[in-house]
Amino acid sequence: MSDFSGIRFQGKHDEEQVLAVYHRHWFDLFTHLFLSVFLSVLLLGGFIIIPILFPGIIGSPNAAIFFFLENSFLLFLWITLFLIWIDVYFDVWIITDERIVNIEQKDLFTRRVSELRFHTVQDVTSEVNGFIPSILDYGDVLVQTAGESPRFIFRNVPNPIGVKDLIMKLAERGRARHEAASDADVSEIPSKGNLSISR
Amino acid sequence: MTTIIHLFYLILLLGISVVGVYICYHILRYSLSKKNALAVVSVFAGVFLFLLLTNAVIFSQVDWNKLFSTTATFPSFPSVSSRY
Repeated sequence: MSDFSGIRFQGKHDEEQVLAVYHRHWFDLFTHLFLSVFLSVLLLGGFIIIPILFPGIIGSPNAAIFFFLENSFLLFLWITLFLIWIDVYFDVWIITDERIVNIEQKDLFTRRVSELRFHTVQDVTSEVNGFIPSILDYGDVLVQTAGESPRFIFRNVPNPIGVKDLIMKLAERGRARHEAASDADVSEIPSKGNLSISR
Repeated sequence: MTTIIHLFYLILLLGISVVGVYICYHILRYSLSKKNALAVVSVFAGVFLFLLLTNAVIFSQVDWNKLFSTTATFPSFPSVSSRY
């Protein structure tokens, strides 16, 4: 069991207990980073191959411009790598004992936080589409709620069936707790016979 | 010409620095675990600063005047008349 005691997020209640935290699967991150990885290989190849093909370049006055371009390329690549990582890794789904919190990072300046209470959950579906997701066991989990809000989607999370089971279990518990709370509220309302009207 | 290049480079360097600072801020602000955030930021900032400094040093070593001079030097070929 992972320890989530160090987890903090905006709007977390003091007594709220984090049960699970899901990020996108590493392979999903890899597919997003593929272009950057490919460019990195190209860059490293350039470092090795260009001096072999053009041995004069190292000693020539153009060596500085060659290294300047290589360095600038590496700098842009490093920044791009982290921008992609932030975009993918900061999409996070937090399951607590009270609710599900979805933090979605659209880009560096756009961030959306939504949450849903367990008693509003009506239906949970897990979806694994494709050859690689089937082998690596990752996919989407769709949570249908009773409210007007659209479906809540856990995108490309590892072990989607496990996530679905956990949500179902917590939803049942949430519904039972909500019904018990509603019954308690109803019993507190005085019945007609008990009402005393003083004149 | 060199002044314009230096000016453009300065603006570029400033822009890159702002992006770098914002990435660090973003990681520290929105990361779920403070410990992990510090580790990632130190890796990012370390490599970023190293690349930025080396970039500035290499930029200063490039002879931009020579690179953009209008009187470019080409290898001299023997003229037709001198061959005969």
